[in-house]
Amino acid sequence: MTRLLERPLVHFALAVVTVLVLPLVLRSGTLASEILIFGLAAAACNLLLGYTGLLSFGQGIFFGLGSYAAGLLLLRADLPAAAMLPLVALVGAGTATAVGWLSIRRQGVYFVMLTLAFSQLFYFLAYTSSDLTGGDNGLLNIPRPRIGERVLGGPWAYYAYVAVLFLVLFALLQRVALSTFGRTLLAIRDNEARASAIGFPVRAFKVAAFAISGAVTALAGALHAMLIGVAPLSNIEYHTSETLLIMTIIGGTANLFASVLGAAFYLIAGDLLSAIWPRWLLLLGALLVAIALFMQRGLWGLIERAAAAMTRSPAPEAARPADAAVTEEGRP
Amino acid sequence: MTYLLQILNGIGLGMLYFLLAVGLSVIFGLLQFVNFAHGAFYMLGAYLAYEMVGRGVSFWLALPLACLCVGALAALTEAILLRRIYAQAHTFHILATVGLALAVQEIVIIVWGPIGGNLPAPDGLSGVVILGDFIYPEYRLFVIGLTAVLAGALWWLLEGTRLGAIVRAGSESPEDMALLGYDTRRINTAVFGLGAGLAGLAGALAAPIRGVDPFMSVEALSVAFVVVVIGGMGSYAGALAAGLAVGIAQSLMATLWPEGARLVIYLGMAGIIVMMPRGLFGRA
Amino acid sequence: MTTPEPALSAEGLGVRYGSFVALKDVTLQVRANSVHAIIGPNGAGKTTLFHALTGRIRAATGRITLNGQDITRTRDDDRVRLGLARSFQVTSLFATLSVRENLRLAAQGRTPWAALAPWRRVAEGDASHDTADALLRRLDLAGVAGRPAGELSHGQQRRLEVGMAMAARPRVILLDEPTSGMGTDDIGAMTALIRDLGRDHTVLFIEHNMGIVMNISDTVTVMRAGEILVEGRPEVVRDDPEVRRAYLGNMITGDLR
Repeated sequence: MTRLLERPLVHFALAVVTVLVLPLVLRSGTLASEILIFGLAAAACNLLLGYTGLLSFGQGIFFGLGSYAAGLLLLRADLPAAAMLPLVALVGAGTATAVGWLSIRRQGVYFVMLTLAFSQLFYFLAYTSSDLTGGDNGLLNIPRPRIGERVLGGPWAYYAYVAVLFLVLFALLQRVALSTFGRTLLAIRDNEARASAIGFPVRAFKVAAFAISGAVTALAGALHAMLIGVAPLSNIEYHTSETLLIMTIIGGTANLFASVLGAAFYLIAGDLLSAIWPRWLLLLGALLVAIALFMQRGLWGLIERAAAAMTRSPAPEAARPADAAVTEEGRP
Repeated sequence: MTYLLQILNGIGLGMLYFLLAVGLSVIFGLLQFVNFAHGAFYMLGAYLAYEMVGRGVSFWLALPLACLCVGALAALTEAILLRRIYAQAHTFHILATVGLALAVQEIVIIVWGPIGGNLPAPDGLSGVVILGDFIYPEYRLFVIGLTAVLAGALWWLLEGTRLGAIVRAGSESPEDMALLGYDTRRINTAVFGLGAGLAGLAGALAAPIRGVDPFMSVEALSVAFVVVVIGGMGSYAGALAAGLAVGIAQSLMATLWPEGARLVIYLGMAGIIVMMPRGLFGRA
Repeated sequence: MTTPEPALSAEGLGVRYGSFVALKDVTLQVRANSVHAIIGPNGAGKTTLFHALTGRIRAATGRITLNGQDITRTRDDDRVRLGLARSFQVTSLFATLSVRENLRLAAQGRTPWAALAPWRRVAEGDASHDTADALLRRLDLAGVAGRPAGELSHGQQRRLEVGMAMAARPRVILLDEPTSGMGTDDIGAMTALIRDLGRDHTVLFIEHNMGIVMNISDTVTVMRAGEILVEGRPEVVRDDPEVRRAYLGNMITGDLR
């Protein structure tokens, strides 16, 4: 059971299950779409955090730019969504290459601070170029995509569109994580100096990880803009970067599906709690402190523990506890 | 003439940035701890001053009280909460302090509302200084003067006193500190309180200039990061030079291209990183 | 014209850390397919010399050539591709990855740009797998191939550490205290391995264990305070009066196991 939880195929199956279950348990198609969109962006964030060891506070840059690029390409260039999406991915990859290349010139906490400062840079850039971005108001009237003659106006019709793209992109991210490239990223995360000493050009790998993460995040931003019909200034704000990072860490960095779990938890909890108490972020703040103290492997860690407990209980006393201690310590 | 005024504005602003950054820097130097709640402490200082003055307390009393309260609160948080996560990866330092900052922001909104407010300049300093063509608000001159005195005092504290020596030695090797018989836990708490108190003071001083609002923390945090990235973490001189440079650049741009004033400081940072990856005074 | 070109050579190498001179005008020639030991007290600059030779740090002065090619300005990862690999004094592995994956990555490091393909899976028949499997057998690590490297015993980790350098199939291999912290049994195996490596590699190694140094080295270089004190065949170095007077005497009696 615990072994099963490590298999990428199982993670993809869980992603499929998520796509199928969300319509059954949620009344709002918008919320369901949001979960998949942010799940995707969080998984892309995890490619940097969990796989490469890069804590990027700049994911909102790519999300927000994705929203703007989608809006501009749909409204000004009059492109169909199918032609717009690849271009958005390019914009995301290009920007992420530049931001990544600059940020990885410093390491550790300086890197984190740089990514945060870059997210402010792009926020003010978007704010000042209001003829492109609509400034405070955002880019309005972004149309939904159409399939043939049919505009995907209804929430669930658009959900289906998002779901297909989500699964495709999730599978692609998994492919990346399992590739020679992804396995090298894990080595860089574990021990950057050694990775360099055995011959890997570590910077190129980090920048490439940024590019891929940026492309997927920008696509998520584009999907979000089409969902709500606006590319708002808030999508490129510090707050979006922070939210994506929080979702990723809440889910746990062990695998890509954990990030989807984190996004689902964040959005569903937010939806339920904000209806009761608009200041629910206070609770979230407390939760983050609690995770830092007691639950460093995130929600996925809880699932692992539950699975370990389930496998253990029927078996006679075995040397399991020592095993569990090792997984506890696990990665950072 | 306008340029002179803007440069003066910039010096005042830059000195506030310096206070913010030096606090962040000292905490990181000693504890290897990235404090993402630093902006929240700045905001708290501003709101406490705002609240006290609103209740009729003299600004001159409110200013030190705000600084002390924030420092004490931060020290308490460190002693109860943060010291438990020092041993963990930076990710969790960041997560915990981001959580803390979020909680502070929400508490500020619950207590004072989402809109924010203005704090008038204190009584003796609400006017302007006039010297021929030169007209300048008294309060801003006061901020420059006070922060200059504080900068001197801090320099003395960090370079000339036992505490400073301990802090510098402690950032090199915490084990040695413990071996020498210093109670590192108390020193850690004190330094964390000091750093946060400086942020709180910067907030309280900034309040009459920029007002208070629940989102001032993020802006302060990222400016402090820019200053530290440019000036180098753990460098007093770097924080001072970079703080002033950022403040003056921002103020000058405010006349040339108002909307882009903030954009420029981030662009400047990107430029410096391209040319000098280690920052102006960078060591590591 | 009679002496063949050295596999690795340094001329007038100098390294400073701030005002501290870690290496001063070091000139060193390592003959191809020889086993060359570097000894000296702690702080003599041995590891710094390795750092400079492998490109982890930039030398302030001097010139480094590898098989006749100037590599003074070449980055550390590029030097691996030119056939120069090293192991570390303090074990430096990919702790959460399996032993086999550690070796596979190290083998892959020879063709790192091919690994930059985010769509390509690692095929089971891949050359890097063959290298890893061969090394697992040679280093007697096959039994723990699937375990995370961080969970191995110290002796196993030290063997893996050396194996990581071997996996790049270098022509010149630098080993920084390969036996550090090892028990007697492990030391024997390691000594045999280094001697064995000397047959088809050029080996430069730092070692404190004089028994090993004297037994398997073709050349010994003695360093002190960032400079080369003496260099020569083991027996010559051992009998050199200046070396004896300087420090080796008590080191031999103190360290010979």
